Amino acid sequence: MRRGHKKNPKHIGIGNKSLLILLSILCISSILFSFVAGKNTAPVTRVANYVLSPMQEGMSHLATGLRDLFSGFRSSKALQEENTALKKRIEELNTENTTLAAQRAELDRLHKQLSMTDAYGDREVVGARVIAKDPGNWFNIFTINVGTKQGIEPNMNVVADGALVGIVTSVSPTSSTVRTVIDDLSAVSGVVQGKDNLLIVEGNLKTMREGYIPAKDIHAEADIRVGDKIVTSAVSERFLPDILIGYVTEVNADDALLIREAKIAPVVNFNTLREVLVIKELKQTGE
Amino acid sequence: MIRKFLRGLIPVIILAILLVLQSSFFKLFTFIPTGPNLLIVVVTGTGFIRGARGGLLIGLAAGLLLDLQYGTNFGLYGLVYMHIGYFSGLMNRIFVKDNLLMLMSMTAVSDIAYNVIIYLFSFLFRQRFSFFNYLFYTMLPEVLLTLLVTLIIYKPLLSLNLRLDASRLRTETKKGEDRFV
Repeated sequence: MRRGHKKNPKHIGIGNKSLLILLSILCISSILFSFVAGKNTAPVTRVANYVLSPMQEGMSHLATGLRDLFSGFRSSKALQEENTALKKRIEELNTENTTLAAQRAELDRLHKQLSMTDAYGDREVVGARVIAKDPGNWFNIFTINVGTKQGIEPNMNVVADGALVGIVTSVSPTSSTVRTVIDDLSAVSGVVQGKDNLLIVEGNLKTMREGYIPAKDIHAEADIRVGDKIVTSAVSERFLPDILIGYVTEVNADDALLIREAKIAPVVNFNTLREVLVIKELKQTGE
Repeated sequence: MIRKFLRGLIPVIILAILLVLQSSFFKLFTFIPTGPNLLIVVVTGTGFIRGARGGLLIGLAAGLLLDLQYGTNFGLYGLVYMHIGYFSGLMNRIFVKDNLLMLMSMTAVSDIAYNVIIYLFSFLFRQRFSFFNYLFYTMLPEVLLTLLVTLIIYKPLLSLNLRLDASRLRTETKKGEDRFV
């Protein structure tokens, strides 16, 4: 025994080191299990989410309230100026609105004639709010305030502003977790809208700092240009087709290789994302 | 017995509050690209104060809470945070609880180790090779901010824990035993 080291007489149970080893073994086996077995919403997960999500929702309400409170402290002069400018803008918008309403009616007619649907045309959607984000700095995952109670299931697509945000990965009764398209683990099968040159849009932490995500596996002969619209392809396993992902900002051609890469700027601003829509229709994969 | 249970429950409550605070408040409504890791602060601090066992358990709790919501392989965060808590707890025997410099070094080491492990198993594993890019833009800002938070949060955490300890000693001496505190 080391001198001065006394054993605590009340010490019952297993030692710290053994406890650590035991729990480590449990953790490692859990990691390996989930690695092999794939994603799965265990009952324990559900319970924890059940407890945490109301707190998260409350917290985000509080945060919104505080933010609005602070932004309310602006000078009255600034507010008056803003008021005048806004009134003028309302007038302009009203005129625009009438014209647009007429155009919209015609568009609807034409759509029906061509039997097209837009991004989430007549699919059932559920509105949801972002209540929490992954606290770490490596991944881009967030929690929304809808879950199995609202009929949400894993692999449902999440959109906002008419563009793809991500996909539901796990659900609990009152909340769900969504992995965004820019998350480093995300990969979406995409295509240039209107053409058939497939590509994979991968999320990437590093490139997002420069504002883009890479599109890979583009065939060398493919017709792809800067400014092209990239949408989800029909062959994607989990994503519904024809949902906008982003626009091409750069195309890299390497003459020696058969495949090219491009840079895609996503449409959605993930920093300011607050409300999303979850499309309740799941992609049917022909089995 | 009940008091002992409550004493163990307080860190878990603090943990849950800080987790919600960070994920629902700081992450949602501030635009800093990389933020501090509040969980590491709590786990390292509690481990430093409570010893290896307390640190180990609070680390496991923190890690599992993260795993449940945002983890990809269940248990990874649990494993990492548990070890962080354990090793911080080992420092308890060596250094005085008031030793802020030691705590901050411990936090820094823990945070760097945590980030490197996440990088190794989630990024390098998938051939994301640009280590220095991640080091500079993701890891270092986080470590620096986390240290700043440690500086701010340590005093309250320590005084809270001392008050809990004092009340524990008070109730135990009330039982009629003679104790030299």
